[in-house]
Amino acid sequence: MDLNNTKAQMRKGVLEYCILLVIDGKPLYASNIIEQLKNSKMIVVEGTLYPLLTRLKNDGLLAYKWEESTQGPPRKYYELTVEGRFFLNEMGTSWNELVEAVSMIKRHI
Amino acid sequence: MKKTFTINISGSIFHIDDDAFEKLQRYLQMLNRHFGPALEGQEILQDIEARIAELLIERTSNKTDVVTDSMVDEVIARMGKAEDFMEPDDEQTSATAGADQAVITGAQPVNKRLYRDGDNRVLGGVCSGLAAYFNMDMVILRVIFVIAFFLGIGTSLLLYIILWIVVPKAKTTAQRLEMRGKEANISNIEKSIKEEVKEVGESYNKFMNSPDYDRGTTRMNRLGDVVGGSIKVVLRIIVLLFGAALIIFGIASLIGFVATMVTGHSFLHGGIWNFGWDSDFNMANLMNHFVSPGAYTISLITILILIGIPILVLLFIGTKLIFRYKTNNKMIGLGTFGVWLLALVTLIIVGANQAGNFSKQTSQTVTQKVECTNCKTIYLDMNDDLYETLIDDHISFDRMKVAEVNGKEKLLGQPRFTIEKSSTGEFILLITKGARGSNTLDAQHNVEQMTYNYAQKDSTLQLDPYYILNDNARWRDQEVSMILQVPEGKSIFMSEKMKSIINNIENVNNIWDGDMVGKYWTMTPNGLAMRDSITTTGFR
Repeated sequence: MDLNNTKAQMRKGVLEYCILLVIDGKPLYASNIIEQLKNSKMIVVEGTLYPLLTRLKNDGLLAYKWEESTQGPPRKYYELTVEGRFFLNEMGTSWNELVEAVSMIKRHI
Repeated sequence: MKKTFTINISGSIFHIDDDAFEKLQRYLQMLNRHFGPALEGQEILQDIEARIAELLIERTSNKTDVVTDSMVDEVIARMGKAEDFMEPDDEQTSATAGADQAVITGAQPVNKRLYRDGDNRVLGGVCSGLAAYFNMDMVILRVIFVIAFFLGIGTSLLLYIILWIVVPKAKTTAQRLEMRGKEANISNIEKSIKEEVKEVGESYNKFMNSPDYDRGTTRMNRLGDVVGGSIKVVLRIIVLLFGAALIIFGIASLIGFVATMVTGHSFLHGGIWNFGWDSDFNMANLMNHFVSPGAYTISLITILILIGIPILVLLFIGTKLIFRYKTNNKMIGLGTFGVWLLALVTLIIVGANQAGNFSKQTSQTVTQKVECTNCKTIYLDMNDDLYETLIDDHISFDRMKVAEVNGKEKLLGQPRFTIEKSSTGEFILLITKGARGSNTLDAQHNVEQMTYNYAQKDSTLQLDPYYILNDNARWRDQEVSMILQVPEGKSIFMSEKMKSIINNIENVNNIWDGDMVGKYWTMTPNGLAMRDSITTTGFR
């Protein structure tokens, strides 16, 4: 069993949840999101983020607007849609249940 | 000093050195392949390119700094290879990752593709894109296009529009790089073929000089390489030739087709649209005689679409084979097919509707006594053919012809003429006019639109060579047949001119219609007989 692979699989599963968590609150552009995810070691390479952002946007969970930047071209600022917020809450609940379940199992070992 | 390029990534300008350029190009190309030409993939790629630009801006403190190999390495390390992206749908990722790997490891030359160059466009960026593809000066290409247009080769405009529609615009940097390709060479196509030929040659040499001839497996593998390579080269050449043939054929048929469609309208006669094309066959004109005016325009448009679209598709496939550009718009393809189908259905409906105009047949017979109380022989002669020089040789439906009289077109037809035995003692001429129509009344009306004249002068019947349709009448399977009933014992003589209308006259001598002219024929109890073969004398 490949340990790295298993780790990657686990991270993959919660990555979308984390992206929604990071964006919740204020509009962010991709580099801000990357910064936070990298700090918490959720992603290794930055390229991972972009396909996910586009898919979340196409699924209606995220929306973006263009904003001018002082340096370089305009940036896409992402924020949660109503649907995205609902989705985030649902995922939050099931995440808590999952953590609860795992810690319960750990306690009983 | 290394060679440097200036590139535009996501709206920012960078100076980049040779090696770094090549590396970045390969990387972007790999991502491009990974994400595919669909809208979603291109959006992701644009976002990634924006990020790359941002990272490069961080690394170049001022605008004149050159992007180096190590900077690109850093950026690629940060962004990651496509197979490092954690994408949930695993199957697809692993499948494409394998392909990406092959692209990266195999030292394949970067293929050029034809794109429209939106950065240097005047209209649609077609010329600038072609210029990038052939590594020419775009100004020269534009001048050629404009001159070609004014020289009356209207197709250059059409070609431009077609390319504008089918060739995709280079949106991402990866595509812009693909548009220029790696080599600064005029004949990229030729070069890539030469490279492939060289590869084949090398693997063949390897095979011949191989020290381990007896190791059959290696030998077979090498042989496989040689054969495979050769086949590849041959296939590529065939594809190129085929593409070129398609383009040539497509352009030729387009010109022919357009000429056919437009020459019918007199205001374009001899104009720049004529291409020196001999208007042998004239679709617009031809239709005019068949179809009622309302349906005429509709069918003309549908025919334009029905024939035009396949020709354009041929051109499209041809250019695609040669230039290998990508098309990512399925909607255009489906839309085009939809339009074609719609045109087909419309034409069928219009056709069925028009066919209804032929559903009923009616005829009207006029019986005329031919005065010949004292004469023995009726002479049959035909009036001079006034329309001979006016008739359009290229159009004829059955026995009907089109003639241009004082700039107006007239439909004419040749009558049929035959001879029967008269049951009375008189010469009788029966003239039957027939036509079709959507109903009996309409058919009757169409019959009345026909004029046929003859005159009798003493014992000579002067027949008109044609019956004529009134102006605006359309072809409805009109016909005129004449029967001359000859009483027993009387004779006829047909002049040479009658040849063209004689139709199946039965005679006891079994002489063919055409050979019956210029002779005297007498009605005997057995039928019509040549006078020389009758023993009786004293006629005339």
